[in-house]
Amino acid sequence: MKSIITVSTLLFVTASFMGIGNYIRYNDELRAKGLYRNTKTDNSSQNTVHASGQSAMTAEVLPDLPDPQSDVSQQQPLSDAAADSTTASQADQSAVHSRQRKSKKRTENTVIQPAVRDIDLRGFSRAPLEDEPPVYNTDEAVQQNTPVIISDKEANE
Amino acid sequence: MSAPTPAAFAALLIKYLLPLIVIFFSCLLVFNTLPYFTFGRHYSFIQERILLFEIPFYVICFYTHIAAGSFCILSALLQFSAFILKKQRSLHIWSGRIYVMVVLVVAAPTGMFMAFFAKGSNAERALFMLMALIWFYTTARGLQTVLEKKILAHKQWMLRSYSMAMTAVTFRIYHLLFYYLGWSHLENYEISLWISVVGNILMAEAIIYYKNNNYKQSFTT
Repeated sequence: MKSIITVSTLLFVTASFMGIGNYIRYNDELRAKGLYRNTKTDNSSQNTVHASGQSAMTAEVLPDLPDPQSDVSQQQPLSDAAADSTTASQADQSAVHSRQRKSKKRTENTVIQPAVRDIDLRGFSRAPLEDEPPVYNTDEAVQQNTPVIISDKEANE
Repeated sequence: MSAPTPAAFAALLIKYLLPLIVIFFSCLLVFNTLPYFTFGRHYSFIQERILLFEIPFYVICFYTHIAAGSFCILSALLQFSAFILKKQRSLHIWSGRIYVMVVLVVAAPTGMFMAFFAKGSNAERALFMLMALIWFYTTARGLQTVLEKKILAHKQWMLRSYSMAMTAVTFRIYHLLFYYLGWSHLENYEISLWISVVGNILMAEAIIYYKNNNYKQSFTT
């Protein structure tokens, strides 16, 4: 029976060394993949990885998504913009921010819009209104440094 | 017939209700572990560690550890029954052998390996390592003392060992409790872990302290 204690002690020590070795190698791999997290600055584990394979650190690169409480029609284009912005240029990002600022204004505008609307239930889309704000080309707006205005139809698309 | 005094009522609760609670949660833990043996990867525990599960040795350790842990928790349930100890002594001996073997050879070493990759900060990893070390040491001392026919010391060391095995159960109880209190996930995880480990150690030491006249001797025998 005493040999069991000896053998298990050896096993335990071996497991400890293997743990250290694998821990170092694993962290090196995480660093190589750019997924390593500094535990000094963040309390959560670098071992915790999102289901998509991204660590929370890489997830932080993504810009803020729109407030879920805001107008539903505004969310789709902003979400698309947010997804694209990981590789977008700075100019494109400024356009995204302009959209975000504008979207708040448009939410206010929807309050004063006429209540009567022609609704196509089958297509679950709204026919354009006469008082719909004009649609600008996004690239042109970026060059002129003016806010991008998008229609609800475009938003639904 | 007079109503029982509060002290007598508390003693009754500890004698009958506490074992039932322990048995229920132990069986629940083992039952909840069973789905992992489908070897699916869609469980949240695995999804959180999806990169770790690309290391084959970690995968082996994980499945070995949860299987060994289940054996430990179920076999330990038989160890503290006075009825089994008196009437079914061979059952106590054999389930004890299984427990000791599984802890020393499988559960504690794999637990030590996995501790390096535990969720949380370095403090939580260190706690898991300490837990594995205490579990291993107390179980080894429990085996050593019973081989030397030191039954009282054997009881004390095995109680300490069992308190470490039960951290898996108490951790989930605290985690559930704090979840319903609305604590955030990581905060809940860390606090539950510390309370379960430290709380179980203190509980075991309190029992040993109150049941023995010479507490210090329990560490030297």
